[in-house]
Formats: sequence, C-alpha cells, structure tokens
Amino acid sequence: MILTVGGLTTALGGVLVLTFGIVIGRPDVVAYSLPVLLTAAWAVLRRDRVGLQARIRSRAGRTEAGEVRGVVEIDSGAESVLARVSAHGYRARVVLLAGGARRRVPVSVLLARTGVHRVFRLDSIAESAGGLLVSPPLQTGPISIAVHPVPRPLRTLPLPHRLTGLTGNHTSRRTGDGYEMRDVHEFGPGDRLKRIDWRVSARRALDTRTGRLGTLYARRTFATADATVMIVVDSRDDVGPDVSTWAGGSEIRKDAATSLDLARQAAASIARHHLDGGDRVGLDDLGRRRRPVRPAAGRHQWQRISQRLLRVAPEGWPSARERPPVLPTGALVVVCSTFLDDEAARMSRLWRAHGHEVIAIDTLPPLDLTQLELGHDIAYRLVMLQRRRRLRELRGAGVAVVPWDSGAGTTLHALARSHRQRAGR
Amino acid sequence: MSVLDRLLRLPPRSRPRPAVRLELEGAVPAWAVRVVSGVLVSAGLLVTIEQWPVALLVGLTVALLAHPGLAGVLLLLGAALLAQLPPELMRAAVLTAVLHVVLLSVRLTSRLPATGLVETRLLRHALATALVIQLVAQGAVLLGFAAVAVMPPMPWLAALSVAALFAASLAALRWWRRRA
Repeated sequence: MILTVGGLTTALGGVLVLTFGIVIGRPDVVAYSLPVLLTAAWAVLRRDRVGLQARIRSRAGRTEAGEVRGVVEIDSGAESVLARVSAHGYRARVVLLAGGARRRVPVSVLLARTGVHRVFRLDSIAESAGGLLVSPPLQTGPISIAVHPVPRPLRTLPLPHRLTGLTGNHTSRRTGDGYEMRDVHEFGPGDRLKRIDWRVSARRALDTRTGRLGTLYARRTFATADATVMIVVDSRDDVGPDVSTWAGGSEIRKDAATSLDLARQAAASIARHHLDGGDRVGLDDLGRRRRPVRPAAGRHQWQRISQRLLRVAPEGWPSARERPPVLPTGALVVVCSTFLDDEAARMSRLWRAHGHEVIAIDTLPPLDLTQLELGHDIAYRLVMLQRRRRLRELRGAGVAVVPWDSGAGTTLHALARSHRQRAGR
Repeated sequence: MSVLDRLLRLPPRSRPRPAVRLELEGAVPAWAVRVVSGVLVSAGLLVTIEQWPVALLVGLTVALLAHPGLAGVLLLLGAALLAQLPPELMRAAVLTAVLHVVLLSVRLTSRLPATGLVETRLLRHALATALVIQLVAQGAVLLGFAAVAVMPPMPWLAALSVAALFAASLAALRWWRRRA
C-alpha cells in the first residue's frame, strides 16, 4: 500500500493542532483536531484487508450492434475502490465504490459499429484507512468483443438469371421434378407412370367405338433448382457519416454506423434471407486477397459468413486487381461498396459483362457536412460528382444500384418482382 | 457569404462523445456531494465568524477545489482562528463539525472528477462512521469546556499529553511500516 501525501499532511496537521491546543491549554483547539485524529484511528482499527483483484467479462452469447454489455468484477477487502471504466471513443466514468466484498458492476456502451472492438478498460485503486493508504493502480482490459450486425428482415430478393442444380426452393424454367405445373404432354420415354393424367388421356384419346385408349398424356412440371448468390464486400475503405473525418486524423464516432458497418449489415441481411430460403451463398472481399467463402447452403454456412464478415476491415491499400475474382457460373453478384473509387464499379461492370446478374448496394451512410472546413467542401463536391458519374455508368451497364437505407427492402422487393416478370417465373 | 466571413465562421460544436454506462444500485454525483458540503461549510462559518464574504469564499473553495490538502489547510487556519479568539462552546462545536464536513467531502470526492459518482452504499457507510466520530468529538468539546470550568489549571497535564502523543505517533509509524 502507498501512503498518500494529502492524507498524511492532514493527519500530521491534526497531531500538530492537538499538540498546540494542549500546549496553550485550550480544550476547544484540542477538540477541533479530534475529527481528523479519530477518523485516522477508526480507519486503523478497521484493519481492512488490503489487495485488489479485478477482471472484465463480456456478456455470454452473441453480441449485436446496439447496447454492448460487460461486467466488471472487483474483489477487494479495502474500504473503498476507485474505479475508472473507459472505452476508446467514449467518455470514461469514474466511480468510488464501497469495498469489502466481491463486487459485480454491469457496464455498457452504445455501439453502432460492428466487427471486433476492444472496449471496457478498468483502472482501479483500492483505498484504505480513510484514503490514507492506497494500493498501486491496477489496469484490466480492454477486452475484445465481436459485434455482429443485426440482419434486416427482407421480403423478396432478386434471383440470378440462371438457377442451377436439381433441387432447391425455386422453380426453374427446365422441365423436371417439381411442384409447379408446366403442361400436359404426350407420354414418352422417361416419363413416370404416376405422371399420367388419366382424365386428360380419357378426354382426348378415348376411342368411344372400341372403348380403348390411344395416346396417353402425362403432366409435366417445372424442375426445382437453387440459386447461387455471391456477396462481395468492398472493405478497402471505411468512411463515417462525418465527412471531415474522411481524410483521417480525427476519430469516427462509435455511435454512428460507418460504410463498412452498413456493408456488413447489408451482406448479413441478404445472406440470411437467401440461406433461409435454401440458396447457396458465398462471400468474397475486394480488399483482401484471401480465399473467399465458397457458396454453400445451411446453418453452418451462415456461421461461416457471419464470422468472416466480423473480420472484414480495411488493410492498407491493396493493389488494383487486373481481373475480377472468379465467381460461380450463373451466380447473382451483390457488391456492397461506397463506390468512392473506380475499383468496385469496374469489377461490377466486368461481372455484368461476363453474364452475371449484378446488384450494387450503395453503403455510403447519410452524410454530415456541418464540420467541413473551408476548401474541404470543394473536394467533397468533386468526389461526389465522380461518384454520381460512376453510379450512372453502372446503371447504364445494366447493374441495379440500391442505396442501403430504410427503403432498401422495398427497392429490392420491387427489383425482384420486375426480374420475375421479365423471366416469366 | 464572403471568403472573410467563411474564414471567421467557427465550425459548429460537435456532439459530445457518448459515455460508458455503469449500472449501480445507487450513486450520487461528486459535484452534488461537493455542493452540499460547500453549503454546509458556508452556513457553519456564517454562524460562527459572522463574516459572509469569508464564509462564501471558504464554501466555494470546498465546493470547487476538493484537494486532499484542503482539509489540512482549513484545519490549521481554523486552529489559528480558535486560538486567537476567546473560548466559546458554540464556536468550537460548529467549527469542529465544519471541519468534519470538509474532511468527509475531500475523502469522498478528491480523486473524482465533477461528473464522477460516489456509490450510495459507500456514502451511507461513511456518513454513519462520520456521525459516530462527530458525536465523540462533540462530547470531547463539551467535556473540555466542563473541565476548564470545574478544575484548576494543571500544567503537568500538557507535558503528559505531549508524551502520550509521541508514543501514539511511534505506534502509528510502526503500524504503517507493517502495512506498507
């Protein structure tokens, strides 16, 4: 334990005043010093157990954007514990807690950001003997917490032009085993007996004179198939709503979602919707040269995509790609990007030229221009002008551009309907 | 808007950063403890020394400057004031209480920023302890005045008290060495 200068000065002052009072024979001066001396004596008599242990835990289970919670555990037998709980990007809270027992203090922050974040650092000091003695400061944390995006419920989403496979929840244009009626056709090789439509056969091919059936007719259905969706996230930039932070040097607020957070949410929402529908979904990252998550269906694939999305983050400035990443044939490509530079738009156009159905999800958040300084607004306007031109070119190339805002679900639903009408499904 | 206007225009203030939230059963802000202490100190001084500028200044100092050394300084100043004026029971009792309020305020809030929190449980415990100590101190004030009124002066008592204090200091030093 460390003896504090302030506490020691006060205690010595008390002794001095007591001595002074006795020497000059003034009982009021002697009594005046008693609160100081009795407080010190009381603290000494308490015989607090010194020592301090602390740790921080995150709450069990999946953490989603919003309120991120943790628990601070402090174990000290001292009279009180001075605790400072902080997190990067947040105002710290300092509290003087009662000691003497194991304490559990729930802590939380409002976090609009997703991904892996380091939060909740605890600096603590145990105080004993009325603040006369303190323990050495103890630092605990920060702890890493994986914050998942909250998937947005979507009604219907566009499907790729070409559905693949022999099973799935979608109806393809091929004839085969399925549920939707295609037509009634003459029975031929390969048709199953159970497919024979006896009523139609009787109506069309029954010879009333002989009472014998001529040609048999069978019901044919559209084959079922599954859709392959490839989600491509552009992690090369992560810009916040405040445009003055785009150049770097100032911090992006933690209570406002950035472009990458919106990209994670868009990717998670679209992946969740398609996986729930039994489709095959894969994930690739334009910013990192690593193996993509291959398209697959099922709950484990959702876990795989969810984990990969958590770790999507800007990593330096990767060199421009010569060729776009190879995607499965006939896949629907969903590109989540801010389109602040040419790379994502160029890739989208190339995929469209290769015959993929491409949807560009614009993940630029609603912008705040109030902090822009003189001159920066001109740069901002030039950047946005280029971006508008880029998006116009994309639309011209047949890529559907959907801003990821509150109306994104409706826009995607309308897009899905128009695709379905065009495909005759 | 001219270029000069734009240059002179200050950027709007950005929103304050969000704060970490603690879920405590009960807590009082440090500024509230300091303000209450300042008011109590001002009121106490106003009753005893009857000079409102001094009372106000000391009260403001307690409310704004909760430094650990503040209690020590006020202790010495109060002792000097008491020694200068003729003995009076009311003055001694109120000044003793005022000093204790400052001690308690400094103890609870000197290491906290104004927005810091003092847990209610600790505050309750500290107040209960302070009440017991204050009762003992006020009892000592009464006893002291009664002893002076009843008993003749005893010069040898001073020497004995100083010796006792010296022994107590040695004991305190040994205690601290054992603990530190």
